[in-house]
Amino acid sequence: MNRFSRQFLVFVLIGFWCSPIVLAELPLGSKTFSLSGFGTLGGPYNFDDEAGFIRDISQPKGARGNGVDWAIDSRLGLQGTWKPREDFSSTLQLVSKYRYDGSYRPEVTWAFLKYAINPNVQVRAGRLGTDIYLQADSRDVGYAYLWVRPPVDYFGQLFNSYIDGLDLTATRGFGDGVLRGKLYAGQLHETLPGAKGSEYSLNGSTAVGGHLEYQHLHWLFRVGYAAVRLENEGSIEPLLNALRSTGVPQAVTLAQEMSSAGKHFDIFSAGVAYDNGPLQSQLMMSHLSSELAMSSNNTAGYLSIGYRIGPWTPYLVYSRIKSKDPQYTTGLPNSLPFEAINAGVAQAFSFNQVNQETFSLGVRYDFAQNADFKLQLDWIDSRDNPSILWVDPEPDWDGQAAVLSATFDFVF
Amino acid sequence: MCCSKLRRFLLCGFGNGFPKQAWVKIGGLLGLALSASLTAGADDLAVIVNPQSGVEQLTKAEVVNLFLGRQKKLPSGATALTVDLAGPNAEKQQFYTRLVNKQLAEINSYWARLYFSGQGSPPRQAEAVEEVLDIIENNKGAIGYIERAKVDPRVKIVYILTD
Repeated sequence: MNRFSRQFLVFVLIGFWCSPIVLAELPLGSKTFSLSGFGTLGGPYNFDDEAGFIRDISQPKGARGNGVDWAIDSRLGLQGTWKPREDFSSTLQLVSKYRYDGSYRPEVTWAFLKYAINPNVQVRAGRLGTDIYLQADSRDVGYAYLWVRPPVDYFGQLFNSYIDGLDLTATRGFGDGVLRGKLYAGQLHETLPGAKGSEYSLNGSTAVGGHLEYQHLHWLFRVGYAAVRLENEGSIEPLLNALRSTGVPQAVTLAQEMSSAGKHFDIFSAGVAYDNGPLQSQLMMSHLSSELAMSSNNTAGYLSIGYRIGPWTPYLVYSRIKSKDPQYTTGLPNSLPFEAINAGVAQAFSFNQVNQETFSLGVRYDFAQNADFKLQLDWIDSRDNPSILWVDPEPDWDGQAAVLSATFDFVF
Repeated sequence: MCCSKLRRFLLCGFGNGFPKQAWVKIGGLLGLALSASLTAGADDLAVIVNPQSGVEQLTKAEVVNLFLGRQKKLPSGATALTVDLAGPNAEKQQFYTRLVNKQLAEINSYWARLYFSGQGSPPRQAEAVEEVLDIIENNKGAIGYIERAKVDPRVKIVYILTD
């Protein structure tokens, strides 16, 4: 983040913090309109300057040595809701955060109309937050969770934060608990930063999925599934053309397997949360099954346990992600003129690998009823270099990093 | 419905004159401690509904599901309108302590997640017992809580939260 934009963000955040009264009720005739917001100010200090630490794969540069990186976790959101009737409402949410292009341009993250067919069944249409994992749709609202940021090994690989489409939620009582099912479908719209300044547009890609949750007093059980179809070709098109032009059958087949257009991802997730008084715990698992050769299948999970003592909630998190070792062959001899093609393929595969675990220790301090302060220390062991979760690691990086983060979260 | 519901919800407890409130609180606590030792159950909280709601009794699980927004319907089928007693007195903290053993900051954090993902709004925030009674009297699906001793015939008790 350059100095100007950092100062700008600080001023905006302080401004909002000091003037919640300004954002009071805005009467719109007899209709009901409300304006609220949330934000986080802070960030990580990566003790290691050999690799860039990112929060998720939408971030083009990471924290590496050189002071606190305010870009990674700071964000500001504003939400307006118009609710003219009990069964109908409309919501618009804008979020400013560090984007794939390095800017902080505010983006519409939610914009939907909601209609409750009855108190137990509702449909929403418009721009909707990605709900692939538990809490995936509120990753920007630091005040809503215990950690400084959602565990990177689990949430870091999520490539979109919203869909443009529809969702349907149905709820029914079941014993003492509540069973809730949700289905959604829509188009993706965001852009991801790639290696060496390239970008990948998700525009036109589609996502369809759903989940089932059962909540019983302290327990929450959840299973989910999502299918994503990629629309566009990536920046490695020239490499794929080079593979095809060799005419070697294995190389031609590999080019087909490495081409992203039309490829599917299946994402399965399951987890359980137990929340009883001062104790909060979650165990979540996910599995990505990919048709795209260089994004090999991976399995990820985390275990988080927190215990409140007065206004302090210390917590521990263990998280892990591992992608399957890629199996591929170009069928080309490693000599001129094919050396460059073989090297390019090897690089494309290695950029998308990930094999790491993180042990985190932190504390959330609720010093007010709408603001908290958090401090977290992560010990990360990345066994792949490069890795999809690190930006520009040095070739001789040992993959061990300690990251200390502090954030201030608020809602208004 | 109040429009900056979340803001009011989150900020309640702020902006009250400190010294007066503190004394009221200390006085209230002493009073509670005294009366608790004299008459057991005097600080019971009664969960109350409209007599026309069609609800006779609720279980603790049902009260939890309604006040945490997991169920938006009363067992009788009416759309639920939950009401918190969020005035300067301690009922709201007491209610959530007894119901789920949570601090108000945790309840706010819980609602922030639901609110900013478009899943629902926190209960309506009433400032005084009279306002709670008034809302319940005028809404068939309304459900709230007040001190048991302050319950009057306009409403019906469906659950008692003891200490």
